[in-house]
Amino acid sequence: MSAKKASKEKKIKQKFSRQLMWKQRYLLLMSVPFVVWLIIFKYIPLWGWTMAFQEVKPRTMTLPIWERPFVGFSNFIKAFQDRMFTQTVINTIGLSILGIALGTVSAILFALVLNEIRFNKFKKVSQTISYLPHFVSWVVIASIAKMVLNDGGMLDTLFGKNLGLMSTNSPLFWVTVCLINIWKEVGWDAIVYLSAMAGIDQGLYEAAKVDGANRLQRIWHITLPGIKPTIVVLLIMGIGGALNVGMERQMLLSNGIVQDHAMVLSWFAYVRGIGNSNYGLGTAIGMFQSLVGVILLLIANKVAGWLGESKLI
Amino acid sequence: MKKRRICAMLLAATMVAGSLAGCGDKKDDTSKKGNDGTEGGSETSGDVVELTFFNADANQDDPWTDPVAEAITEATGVKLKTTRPVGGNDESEAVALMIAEQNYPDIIFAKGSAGNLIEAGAMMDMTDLIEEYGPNIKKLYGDEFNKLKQSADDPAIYQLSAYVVGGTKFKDAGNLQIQWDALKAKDYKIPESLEELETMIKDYLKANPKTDDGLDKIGISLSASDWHWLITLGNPAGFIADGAPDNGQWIVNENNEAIYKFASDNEREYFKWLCRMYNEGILDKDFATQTHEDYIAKIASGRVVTLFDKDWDYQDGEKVLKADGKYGLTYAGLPTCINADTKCPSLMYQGLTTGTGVGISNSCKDPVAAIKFIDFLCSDEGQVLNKWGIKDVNYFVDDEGHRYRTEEEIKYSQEDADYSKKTGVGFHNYPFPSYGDGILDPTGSTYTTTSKEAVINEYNEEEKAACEKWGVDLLVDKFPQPDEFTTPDYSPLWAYAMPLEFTEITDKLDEVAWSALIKCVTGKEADFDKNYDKMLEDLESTGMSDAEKMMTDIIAEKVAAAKS
Repeated sequence: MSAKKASKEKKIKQKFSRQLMWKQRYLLLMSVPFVVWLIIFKYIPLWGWTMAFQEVKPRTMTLPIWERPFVGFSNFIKAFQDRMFTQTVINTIGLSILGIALGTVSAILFALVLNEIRFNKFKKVSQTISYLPHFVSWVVIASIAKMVLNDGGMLDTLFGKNLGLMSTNSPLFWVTVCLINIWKEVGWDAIVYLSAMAGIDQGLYEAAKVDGANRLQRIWHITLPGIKPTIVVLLIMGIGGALNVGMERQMLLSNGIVQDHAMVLSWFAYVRGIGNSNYGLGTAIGMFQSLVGVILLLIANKVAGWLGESKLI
Repeated sequence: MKKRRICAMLLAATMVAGSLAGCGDKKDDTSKKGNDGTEGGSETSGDVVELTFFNADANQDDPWTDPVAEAITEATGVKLKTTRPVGGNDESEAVALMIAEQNYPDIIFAKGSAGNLIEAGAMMDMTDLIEEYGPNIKKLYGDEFNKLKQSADDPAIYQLSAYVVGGTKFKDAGNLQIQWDALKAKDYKIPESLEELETMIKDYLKANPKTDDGLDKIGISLSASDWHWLITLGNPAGFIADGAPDNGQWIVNENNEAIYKFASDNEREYFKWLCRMYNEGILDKDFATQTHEDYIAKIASGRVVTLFDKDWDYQDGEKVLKADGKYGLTYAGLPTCINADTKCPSLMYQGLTTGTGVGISNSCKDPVAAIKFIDFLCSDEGQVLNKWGIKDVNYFVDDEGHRYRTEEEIKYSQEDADYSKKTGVGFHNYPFPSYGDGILDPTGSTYTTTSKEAVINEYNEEEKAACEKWGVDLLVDKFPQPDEFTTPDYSPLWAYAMPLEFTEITDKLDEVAWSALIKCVTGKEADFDKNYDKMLEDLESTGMSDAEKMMTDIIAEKVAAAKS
């Protein structure tokens, strides 16, 4: 085992050479389809980013790329100066931080509860029921949510007063959206944590039992540390995608009152880009979103390193 | 390090190669497409040309197999293959894709996205074609033909009009709608100002606080959680406060100068009234967040006393009431305005609605066949075929040469939801050009099946009783009549295909106005002026004056083009 590991490390340190390539020819050959796939579907489309520096409207769209008028950074400036831009960025970040925090905590809690249930049949059934909403489209979820949370909806009737959950133009709307999202996704998100928990050595639990640890102590000292790497990996991935807040969810749940707090970057790019047929502007907004996403990802990765966890990249 | 550099170079090389390949491919694509197109054309049997048609407003497929379609094909040698936007009524994505792919159907009705197609150079100037092959098109549009021209600088005709030419309105939902029961309670006296309307609603609510099912009645409801705000919150403000006809978000004064309508002082008064209604609990407290389905459901339950809407928008709810025979809870369209001096513009003929209609694309495989096809639809024969159907099947001709439909046919057409799809009558009519209601053809019959008598025949008991009480033939006789208005030189602004620079600003203006107006109405009365001023300030900083100037220029151009 240790010898193998040592040789592996040695290999990594080996200099790039022809012999090495020859030695690993089958591995390289096997990776070719994936590299080709990556280049074709992930890198070549990046060429489209040139649109962000050009004027691309219906009248110029049909021109070949090099004949479209280059406008430098004016699309970006236009986007940054838009009255909605700052608010949109705040909304996007606010929504994702809230979503990641609430979503992770609730998924872990749910997984812990499921994990502790000893009655297997009940466990299976409740798990299946809980992740079913994940497969239901947002259109359906949104109309159900509106029936419950809208002004004069089920919750308002229950409490006998107007809670304004979906009609308060404030970050309260983010909370409402996040709660709906949790209801939809909690079961699905818990699956990963559950499988991580299943991988924890049962011997640890038995030892703890022998030492007199109660359930909560076992959860705190064994289960949670056991799934910590999973949590960190999922958090890093979540933060990397923080700006990719889904547009359809926001569109479907918003209304005239909360519009200011519902707009997110992807929707903004759609409205200003496709909606106004100003494709260059839309691309610029999308590009900004990707760049910020990459920066966030790197930061999260660094933080994970400081926390003493394995980094992703 | 070296490895990375090699990787980077490889990557760069592939990207360049990829892009070059991509561009090369594109050329191949277009030539291929051309071939495909012609192949597609020759594939169709005999002399029949199959033209592709994009219909932005179609909500069901058109297999082109009904008797009327066959008769049209027989007369023109053209068969239409219709495509429609997938997923609801939003044509903008479908059109954006067409432009991106450079793949256009032969005939296009693009509705609001027509401007993009024109800017992309996809639409053909039909002027010469119409001159040569379109005598019936010219006849149909008559004096208003020149209004079809794009602008004074670009006097091309890219599209015809999807709306009717001339005619009389035999029915209209007016400025606002109130339940017949509430109107009866005041002995059919039409309120002449918002104050009178307010008393009418309040008195009725006091006398009938609940419906038969025990639900609370609602004084006024609106649908404002999506684009419907334009119809129920925005448009009525213009009609009621300014007596202005529907020009979208614009009010045009006698000098043809446009202002963004929410900047008008009269509208401020109207919204102030709405705000008071909201705070007094007359206006539905959920109006801003309820979905359109909720709104329709409320109407269907008979709870809502007053609407500020149009019949096409609320009829789904009203249908339920009619089916239950609760005619007293259905709606009477009223010409009520903010005060007695303002005239309800419902019946005004605003001139031909241009800017949205069918056009021929530049990639059309047979433009002559296309224009001849449209010309046939504009001819008397084509109009009658489309609207009345097949002679001796759908309609008959009496001894005096007038067309008439049998009772069974009328019943069939009213009761079978698939009537027009099965028989083809009225199925291929829109969005092609057509005459308005009440216009007579050379035989002395109307082009459309809608006539004054037909409308009166369709009245329900409440409507009949009202006509009797008011001593009129038609309900709309109580409205200010068309001859009290002059038709403006420009066609209704809402339908124009606007330049992008303009829509970029106006989309933002609407975005600001939507949430700000709701804020004004749902806020405290004391804060109303502050909120409204804030909205005007925001509108101003979003470019309202620029947009107003552009709009005024566009109107001037259109007027100049129509006169040239």
